[in-house]
Amino acid sequence: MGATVCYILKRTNLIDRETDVPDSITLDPAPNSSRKSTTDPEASALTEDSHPESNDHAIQFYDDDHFLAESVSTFICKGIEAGEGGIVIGTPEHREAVENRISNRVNLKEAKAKGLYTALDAAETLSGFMIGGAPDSNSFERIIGGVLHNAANGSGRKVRAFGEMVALLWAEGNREGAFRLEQMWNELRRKHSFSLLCAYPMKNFESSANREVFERICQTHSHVFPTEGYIAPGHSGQDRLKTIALLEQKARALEAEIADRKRIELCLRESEARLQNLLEGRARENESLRHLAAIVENSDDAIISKDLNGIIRSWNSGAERIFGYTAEEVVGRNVTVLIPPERQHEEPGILARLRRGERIDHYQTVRQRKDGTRVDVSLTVSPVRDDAGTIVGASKIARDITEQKRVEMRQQVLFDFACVVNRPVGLPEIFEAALTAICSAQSCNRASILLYDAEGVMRFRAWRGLSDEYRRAVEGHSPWKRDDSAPKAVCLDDVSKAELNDTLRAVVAQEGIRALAFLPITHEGRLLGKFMIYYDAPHHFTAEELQPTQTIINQVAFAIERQKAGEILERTVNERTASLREAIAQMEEFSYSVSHDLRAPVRAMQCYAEVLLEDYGNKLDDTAKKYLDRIINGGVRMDRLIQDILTYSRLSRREMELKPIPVDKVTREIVRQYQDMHSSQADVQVEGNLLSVIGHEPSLAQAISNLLHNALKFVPPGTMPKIRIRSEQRNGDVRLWIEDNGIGIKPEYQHRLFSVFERIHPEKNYEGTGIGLAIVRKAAERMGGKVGVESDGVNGCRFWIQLPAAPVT
Amino acid sequence: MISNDTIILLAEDDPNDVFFMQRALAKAGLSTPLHFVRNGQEALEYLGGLGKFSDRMEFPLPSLLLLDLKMPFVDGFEVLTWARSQPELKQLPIVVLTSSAEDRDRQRAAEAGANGYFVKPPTCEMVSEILALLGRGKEDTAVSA
Repeated sequence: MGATVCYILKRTNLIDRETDVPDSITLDPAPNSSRKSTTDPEASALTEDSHPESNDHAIQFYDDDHFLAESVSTFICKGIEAGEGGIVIGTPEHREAVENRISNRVNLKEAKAKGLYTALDAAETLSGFMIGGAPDSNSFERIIGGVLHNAANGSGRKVRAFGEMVALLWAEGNREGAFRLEQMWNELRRKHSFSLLCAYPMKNFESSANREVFERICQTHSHVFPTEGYIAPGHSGQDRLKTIALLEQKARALEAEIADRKRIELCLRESEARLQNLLEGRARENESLRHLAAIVENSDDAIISKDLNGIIRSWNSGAERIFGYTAEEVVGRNVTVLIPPERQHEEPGILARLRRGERIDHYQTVRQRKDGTRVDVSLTVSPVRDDAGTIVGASKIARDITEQKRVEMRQQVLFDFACVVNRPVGLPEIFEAALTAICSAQSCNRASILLYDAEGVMRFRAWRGLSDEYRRAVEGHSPWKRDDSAPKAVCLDDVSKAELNDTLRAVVAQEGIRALAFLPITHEGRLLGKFMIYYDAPHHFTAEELQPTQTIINQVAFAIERQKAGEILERTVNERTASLREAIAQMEEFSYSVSHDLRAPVRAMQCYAEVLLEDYGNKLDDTAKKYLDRIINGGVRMDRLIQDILTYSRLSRREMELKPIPVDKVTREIVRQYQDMHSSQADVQVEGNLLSVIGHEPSLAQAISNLLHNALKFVPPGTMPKIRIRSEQRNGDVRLWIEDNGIGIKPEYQHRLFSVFERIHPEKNYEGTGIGLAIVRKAAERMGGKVGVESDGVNGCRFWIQLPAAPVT
Repeated sequence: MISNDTIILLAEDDPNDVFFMQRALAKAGLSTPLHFVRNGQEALEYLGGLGKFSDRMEFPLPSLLLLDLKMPFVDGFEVLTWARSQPELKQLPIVVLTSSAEDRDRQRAAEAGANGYFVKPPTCEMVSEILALLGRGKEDTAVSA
């Protein structure tokens, strides 16, 4: 647009708009102006009618100062003449030119006096509200507002104002300041009612680069007035008319275009915003979708979707890994291809639950791979709904739990095996358990155990799934030497590729073995034998896989050694038992001999002494007879001693059959048998019915008898023995008390009382062998009981013998 | 009752016991000669009429055997068992005369077929008892016959 491009734009509603982008702009080509221009070619720039309307904000471009002065003075004069206030904020030159022209039409002095005309210096006024290079709206409003207020005489009259402070800013190059100031003027018109005319020297916009700025300036004004070039002399009325018509057309087209463009722009912006939102949302969605897809794709689990008929709709790489099918192979097929025949019944149930909207969580089952092998899986199946909430299919996550199962199974196998090993069972049972355990742990169905025999040949001791021919053919073979201190496991993953001699290879092939492992059984560095594991197909053995098997083998080795040790121990025990039996038999023989041979000479002495007394008594004096009596007494004591020793040793070794004993009957029988205990010589009381016990009757009778004799014997001279026999319950036992009125035993001696040959009272008044109470104790102990004594050493003794009570019948 | 023609064989290795038995028999009023052997082996030979005992005039078959249990070479139980296995000796009264008072010996002797069991030393009373025992046996036989 060149300097000549100029038009009048009338904008409506401009100032009422918050935004500076108007909805619509109507073209008002100031028809009067065009009409007048045609009739009055010399007319000034602004005709009476073409001036800015009240409350209008118009702009006047100009090339020549005179033209400006003419235009402004006309604008102001018309106001003064109508009784309106007029304000001119201009450069000194312009003010002078304008006032000269006004003076031609009205009395300026009078007008000034009435306050109808106010003139301000543009630069000076401008400096009043410029802060930091930018117009300050508050200061502007205060200063200009005040001027407007005065000119309006409060609000009593209309005001017309001309200002070229904007032009000054423009000339300084402060374009932003100029725009801002234009806006301030517009804003000011919301508070004050006035018509404003701005003026810009057109030369500032001659460059085409300024077109945009020019248009922007026009937009801030409700009227734009072209420069004088269009109405200046030199143009014929027709030309001007044409020019104006053209301008109007252009302006109209431009206006429409601008309006359209604004509308489009607005629409575009809105669309753009919507699009932006949309894009952002989509991007977010895409992002999360991509994220999800990555998760699905990279999952170790099989993630499969299927419809309600069980048709597979999607298939991730996890599924491909686990089941062996590619997505291409399987999508569109029924999910039942993954289900082994024996589990086909599961799917209808799963589908039915899905249709009911149920979710299936961690359902452990078995599925089938493409190659037909089974895989342990944990299934989580969830219904998938469409936007309307209708169940349309299912997502299925299958986790391969083969490893987990295997670990669990191995633990179970080890546990079961440990249970067997820790029971007292023989090696064959342990071998069988070991084969079972290893077959389970290794998932194989053939295994064997070979051990060195006495000749140093490895022989089958237990096996599973091996033919007799095979065993005969390979028995004795070993990959290790017997004295190999660290034999290593030998694993042949594929027999056909292994280094084997031809014979062995043929035998192994004949047996259908494709992979096998030799696992040494060792104990403390000694090779005991080997464990063999066989597979029908090539098998990749791993150290990790063989670990549970190794544990089992160690246990077996331990069991073998334990068995050996046990056998040795048993042999030793048997040998010792035999030799003990022999020793006891010899002892038996010895005591038997003692009872005969030791007593024979004693008896002979005794008997010969008696013979002497009988046959030669009349030839002997009393002293000789007394000596013979002593010999006889010595013999009697010696014989009793020997008998007591025999009794004691017999008690020690006699096998006793323990059974209920009627203690009351046994005791009363003993009392009745012995002369010493008859009432003339002793007071023996059996209290109540004595309780029965479990024991050995002859031994108990011996003990009771000894205790009674003891009680009779140890009484002070001249005292009638008084014995009380009673029994009492004592924690499932019966305690039999034998209480006397004898001389008692001091507590400090009581612990020695029941030992062999202990005699607490050596005085000849209390003769004894020193074995009687030892026999009592021995008898009680052999019967599972005990004995004791209570005494203060003065007032007799209370002996007791305690035995398990007999069941009450 | 036992009369003076009763022939008693004593199998006893202890000469003291032989003496006491002879004395006891004498005191009991039996004048019958006492034949004796010093061990089980001799007892078997005497009873079987073997070797030096082949002359039945000098060594007549006894009508009572007094048998010690503990003797060298062949003991009393073996003699007892053997005698009970011989048809002509089945009815021979055999009385065990031993220093063992043990129940097991008493029981074992009875099972082997002894007619009586007496613990040494031999006394006049013991002889009476033995004779009483034999007489009763004879009476029983007479009654049953």
